[in-house]
Order: sequence, then structure tokens, then C-alpha cells
Amino acid sequence: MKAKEIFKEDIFTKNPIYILMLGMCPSLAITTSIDNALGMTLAVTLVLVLTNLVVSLIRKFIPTEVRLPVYIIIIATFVTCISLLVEAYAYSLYESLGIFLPLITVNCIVLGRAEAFASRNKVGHSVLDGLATGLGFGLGLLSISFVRELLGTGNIVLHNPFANGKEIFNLFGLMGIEEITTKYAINLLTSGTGAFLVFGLLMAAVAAFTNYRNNKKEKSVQVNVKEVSENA
Amino acid sequence: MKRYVRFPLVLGVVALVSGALLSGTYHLTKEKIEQGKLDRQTGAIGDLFSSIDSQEIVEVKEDFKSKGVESIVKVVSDGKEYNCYTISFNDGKGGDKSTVIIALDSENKIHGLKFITIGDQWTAPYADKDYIAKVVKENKIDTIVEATITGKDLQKVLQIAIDCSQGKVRDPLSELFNDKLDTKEEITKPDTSATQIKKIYKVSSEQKSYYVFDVTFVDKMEYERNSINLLFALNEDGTFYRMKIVDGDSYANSYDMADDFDAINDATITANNLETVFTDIIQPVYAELASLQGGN
Repeated sequence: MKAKEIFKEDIFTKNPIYILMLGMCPSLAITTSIDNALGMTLAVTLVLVLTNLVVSLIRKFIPTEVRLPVYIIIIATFVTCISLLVEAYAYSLYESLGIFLPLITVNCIVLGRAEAFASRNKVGHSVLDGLATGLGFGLGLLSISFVRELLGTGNIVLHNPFANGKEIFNLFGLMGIEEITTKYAINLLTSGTGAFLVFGLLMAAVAAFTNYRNNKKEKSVQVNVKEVSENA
Repeated sequence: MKRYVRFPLVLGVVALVSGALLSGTYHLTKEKIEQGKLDRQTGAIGDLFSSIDSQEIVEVKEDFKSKGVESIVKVVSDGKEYNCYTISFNDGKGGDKSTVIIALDSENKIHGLKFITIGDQWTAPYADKDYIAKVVKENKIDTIVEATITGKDLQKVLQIAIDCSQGKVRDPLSELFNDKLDTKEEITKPDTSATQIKKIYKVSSEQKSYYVFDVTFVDKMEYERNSINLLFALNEDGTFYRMKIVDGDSYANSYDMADDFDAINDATITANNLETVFTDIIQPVYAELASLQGGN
């Protein structure tokens, strides 16, 4: 399997959020802001890459019967280490992610990729798979959080988690129209209900696009078959 | 046979390496995390006072550490002395711990209160600085309701701060008798005692004798919650005298010192629960105890 194929599959054709529908709990809970989505993406990607790396390295020494507890130990170790590092160096992010940071341990995506890919493939490919799956997960989180933050708060604000959450970007603040946009914010979208609504709409859009593309492909295949049979 | 050796060996090695990695990360981040905690605490104390002349860390006694008091800082502001108590507490419904700083003046009046961490996202609106300030100012702690951190929870935390300030270690057994306990003797439980009964005391207060049963049970009427620890005091003739909830969820605490079972309703601990504890668990043990003591 080529690196390009791994990236294409993990990010788009088998996107963990919109296609496989894995890791839904953090996807709905922490996507109130792009800050949270970026932080969660970084943490999950790191866990995925490290877990895939270790699982692939030791895959030949792990008996099949005890593979799941071994994977869980590996995942839990990396999640705890990352959690401690985030608490030490990016406290504002640690606070806003809250319980969802340690809960990465039970995220199906991480265990799923370790079991389905890393335990059967070479180290290099497994690391790339971890990275690509993390990016695919991040794409899902960022798209949901972009809609929720923009429409729910009426602005997009980014903070630096390594500098006590200091504001580094304010979309409408820069344009000087922050007061107007925040006035028309749809607060519902920042709540749990809003998360389901946004996720449902985005998933419908992704499904519609996928169906459109598949139909187009099918039609072109049918045309090709017809042309070939006519030529024959 | 080989596989029975291989499995634990593999798991053992993986656990060992994981432990080493965790330990390394813990030591790497420990100092930074502690420093961060201290900085946030200092910042929160700074928010409670317009100006600070001096501040000094005071040692916390073990009795209060176990009640959640993390640190005490003595602050002098505008010539007045205050003690700032950093207390961590759990609201009794699970979730992370919340940490609050309470500043008390020399007369143990609340000068200010500020949350450093909030264990549950739903508590956030109730931990709002202005809201808390208003509530504390009006001295209506009980008005904080409909949140995970209830008025009772906050009251409990404030009580810990005040007790700590007065150096008073609370003894629930003594409180059950309005701090008028003359003697207290733990007596051996009969062999047939239900496991819910942890200890039995014979006490005397104001020239009367009582039996006190230290009971821990889990309320299963609605849905399983934290276990509830009660002290049940019986008169010498085996009739109910008084009860006290030592520890339990925040609903349970609302029914503290209830003298009348029938008045307890619509709560997690229902009147029926208490009746069951009293009639099925305590009374049979009391009967056996009485017959044993009578025999002696």
C-alpha cells in the first residue's frame, strides 16, 4: 500500500468521523471551539502515531490471545503521558478538554487502527496510517467546530494554549465587526443539541457528495463498457 | 504450558516498560504542574483582594488535609489579616474534583470565594465570579441550587474552612449529641450483625445511655449512587432517638439530622430506605445485643 493511498483512504474515503462514525463522543462534546478541536486532533494524532509505531514494532512478539490487553496498556500509557504533558505545558487546553483527554484511551479509532492496521503492517506504513487517521479525525473535528463556533458564538477566536490561553486571532475583531456578529449568534449551536444538528447536517452533506461522486463514477464506467462493447 | 508462561511474561514486560515511561513523564512534569497550581492559586488570591501587603503559607494539619484542605495562605491586605483556604471537593455525583479558594477574615466571615477548577462543565455558570460574590455577600449560600455544586456542597466546603480556621476537628458522633458526649465505648458487634453495620458504640450523654450504630448502605431505590454512611442512635429501650448522615450524596445531606422518618420523602434516601435500615438491619442486632448484655 502506497503512502498516498493510505492518506487518501484514512482522510477521505474512510474518514473516521463522517464515514466510519468512530470517536463520536469527543467529536460532539469538545467541538464548541476550534481551539479544542485543534488540541484534541493533536493529542489523538500523537497517540495514534505512537501506538501504531509500538504495536507494529512488537507485533511479532505479542501472542494473539493477549493482544487486546497489551494494546490497551500501550494506549493508556501514551494517553496518560500526553495528559500529563498537556497539564504541565498547556493548562488552558487541559482544562477545556477536561475528561475527554483521558478518555482518548477508550476511543475506538485508536484501538481500531492498532488492531486493524498496525498489527498487520510494517512500521513505516503504520506510522503513516496513524498520522493519516489523526488528520482525518482532525478534519472532522475542525469542520464541526468551525460551524459551531462561527454560528454559535458569532466569531472565530484562537488562543495560544502554551501562553495561558492568550488570544492570538480574532476573525471579526480584526475586521471591527465583532459586536454585530456576536449579536446574531445562534447560541443553540454551542450546546449538545447544536452539536447533533451540525454533525447531522455535515454528515448529510458528506453522504450527498459521496453518492454524487459514486454515481458519476458508475456512469462513466457504464459509458466505458458501452463504448468497449460497441467497438467490439 | 509454554503459553501460560509466555502470556504473563509478555504482559509483565509491557506493563514494566509502560510503568517506566509513566514514571519518567511524571517526574518530568511534576515540578511544572505543581508550579502551575501554585501560580493559579496565587492569581486567584490576588483576585480576591484589591491589594496584598504580604502573604505567607501556613502548614495544613493532617486532619484537615484528609477533608480536602490543600493549602492555607495567610494574607495581609489593607492592614487586615485573612486566611485563604484552598479546598478540593467532589459534588458526590461523580466527575472531577472542583477546587475553591475561600478567604476568611479574623472573625471567620467570608471575605471572598473563587473557583480555581470546576469539575463539571454544568457547574460553570454557578461558579461565576459575580454570581458567587453576590451570593456570598447576601450570605445566602443555599440559593445556589439546580447545579451540580449545590448550596449544600458549598456550605460543606465553607464549614471545612471555618473548622480549619478554628482548629476544630469535627466528630460526627459528638455532633449527634450536640457536642454533649460524656462517654463513648465501642462494643463488640454480635457475630450475626449485618455487614452494613460497621461499628456499634455505647455512649452516654447528659446522664442517659444510648446505642449508636455506624451504618453504611447503598441506596437502590432509584438508581445506584454513592454509599451512604449514617449514625443511628437508639435509646436504651431500643427506640429510635436520632440519626445523622455522615457521608453521602448531596441529596442525602439535605436530610441530615432528620428526627422524623415520615418527613423524609422525594429524596434519594427515602423514608422507606431509612425504615428498612432501621427495622431490618439495626433492630435485630439491637435485640441480640440487648439479650447478650442482659445475659451478662
